[in-house]
Amino acid sequence: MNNLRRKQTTNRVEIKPLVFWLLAATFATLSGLGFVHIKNQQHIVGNQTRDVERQITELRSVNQVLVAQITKLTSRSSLQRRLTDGFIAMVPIRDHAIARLGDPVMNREGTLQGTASAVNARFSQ
Amino acid sequence: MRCNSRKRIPIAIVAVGLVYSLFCARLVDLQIFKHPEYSAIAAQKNSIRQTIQARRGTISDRTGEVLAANIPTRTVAADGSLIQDPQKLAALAAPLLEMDEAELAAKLTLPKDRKYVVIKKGFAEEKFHELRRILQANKQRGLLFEETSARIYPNGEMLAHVIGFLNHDGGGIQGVERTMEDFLRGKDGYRYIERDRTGREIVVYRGQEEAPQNGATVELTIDMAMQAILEEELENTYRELKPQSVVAILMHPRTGEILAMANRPSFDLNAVNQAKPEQMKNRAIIDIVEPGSTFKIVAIGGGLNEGSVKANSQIFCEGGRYHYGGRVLRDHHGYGNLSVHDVLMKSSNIGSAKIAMLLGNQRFYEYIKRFGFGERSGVELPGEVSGIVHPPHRWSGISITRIPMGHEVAVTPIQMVRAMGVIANGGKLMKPQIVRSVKSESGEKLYEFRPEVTRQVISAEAAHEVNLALIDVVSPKGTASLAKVAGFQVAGKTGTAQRVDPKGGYTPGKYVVSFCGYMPADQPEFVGLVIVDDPQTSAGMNYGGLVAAPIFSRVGEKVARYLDLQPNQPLESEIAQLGALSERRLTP
Repeated sequence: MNNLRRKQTTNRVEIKPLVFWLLAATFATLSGLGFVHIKNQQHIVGNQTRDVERQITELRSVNQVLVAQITKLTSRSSLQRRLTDGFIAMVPIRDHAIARLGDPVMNREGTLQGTASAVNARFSQ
Repeated sequence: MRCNSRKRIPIAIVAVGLVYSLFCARLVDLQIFKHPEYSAIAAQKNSIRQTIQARRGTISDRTGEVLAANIPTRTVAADGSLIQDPQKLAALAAPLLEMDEAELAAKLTLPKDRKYVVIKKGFAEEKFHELRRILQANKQRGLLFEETSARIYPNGEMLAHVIGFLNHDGGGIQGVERTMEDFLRGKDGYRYIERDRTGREIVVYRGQEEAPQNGATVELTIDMAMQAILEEELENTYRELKPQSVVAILMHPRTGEILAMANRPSFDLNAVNQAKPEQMKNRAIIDIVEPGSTFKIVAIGGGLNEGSVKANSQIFCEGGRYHYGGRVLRDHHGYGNLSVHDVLMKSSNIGSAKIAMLLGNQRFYEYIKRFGFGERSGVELPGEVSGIVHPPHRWSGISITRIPMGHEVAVTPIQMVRAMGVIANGGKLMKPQIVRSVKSESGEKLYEFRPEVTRQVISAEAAHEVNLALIDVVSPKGTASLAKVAGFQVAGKTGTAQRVDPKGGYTPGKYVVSFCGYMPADQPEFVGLVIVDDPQTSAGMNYGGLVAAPIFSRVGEKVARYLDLQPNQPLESEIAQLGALSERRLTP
């Protein structure tokens, strides 16, 4: 009788469900932590993305400013102004220094006999 | 006891179950049934539609030289909810914003609920970076810097009337900036974003977005080298002769491409606010003038085309005084019989009138219209007017003698150059065009120039006969010998008309002088027009042949050099050398 009562009051440790629940709890915990970690990472990457986008925008802006400045400095008006001021000078090209290419010479078969020759077409007429 | 516990446990379970069921039901209600409603409320509170501005397209000439570009700038705004110390913020920002510190501090002292007050527009990008660094170093918040852009025109005054400019909202209001607005503007993009409580974007919650479509690049038919030549000559004329205005146009006769177009007075596109309305008028398309003798090509071209006269037909010019309709029509010199060729060469008013009379009112009127007068040319510039050409039923008894010499009609400079192009182009009237191509940012061609023949006005043979007469106009025998260009054959016609008084009639002693011509005459590369309105010269000098023709000559010479045209006429020095050589040979 005593044995029977003792038997009833003793709880046996059920390894299988214990392991199951432990694993389930661990999985749930890790999943939760993983979710939070991924969310954090997402925010960090988001911030990095925003910073990179800002840097790209700024670089583009700087580039545009520089392009605009180059355009201004190399504009015809600007160059003419500097030419007038004597900052730059132009050297006239003498006629004898200009090579004018004549028409290419064709042979009887209608194919190219020779390439365009550097003749002064102005005076060849 | 056992019985009680047996009852209480299910009751507790049911109670707890009910509570959880209620929570679950509420959760389902919130998450599923009311999801759209609450999402909208949340979006309204946190989500912002951020506009991503499209960049306006650039404008360039036919060689790719940039005529209008963009420079990034910032619009500085204040957010009252973020400003903690307006005085300190003003002290830091005022020097770079170039504002008075006290004035800025007053502007920055805002209630917390005012989150957007514009402080300054067009703040330079370089200064923005510096100001932001200073504010970050001093841990000051409350200034927002929105990305915008400003339009810059690297050439300032050059081609100002053609390029045009923008209004405060960035829309084109004059010139190509206006006509090509749809292409240049592009399409703004957008992005739905959410911000945290500090105002920074939470990137992971980015919503729907659409990238901006930047504006297309518009390439003009203008050649800036030729434009510079024209501008320089016009500037010199405007300074020396002090006229009311000067207009000049260069056009390619066979394609209708406008190669250069200049006006004086002019204005700086980068300082439009300082320009007066008179300076901003593109007179080439909106000013109407009586063309004077340049208009004689219409009557003579029409007469030759109809066969009512031939080039060698003799016209009696009444010795310089022709009584008609109770009025006297005069020529500068008294002529007897002149051939049709010589009527144009000598610019006989009487001869031209008689040729028009042979055509008759209706046919002559039709030729005026066929040459493109009284209608808009269709050039891609805003505000073009059609000029004034009255139909024959509104003509007076003497109109048929006055219109052939360019009176009683009002034409725009572009109509005049287009009409001269008819003679230079074998009788074909071309549509003048100023846009060569439109390319998207990716390089796709959205529009490409194609020459458009409006109509065949006169036959090629008739055009050739007029061409021969116009060549002689620019010879020692003609009225425009000063328009000649060494080494080239030039054709053209002078025009001298009295200045129309806005109150009616003509202003005595004031003239509008012009020269319209083309070169080389046998294979024209450009048609040019120069109109000088009321030049301050001595009384005997106020003629198209003396004022406008030399300008054309100088322009023609420089353009010929630029285009590397082959001279096909003997130079004066060569003629002199040949003369000397033949004299030596004849001398025993």
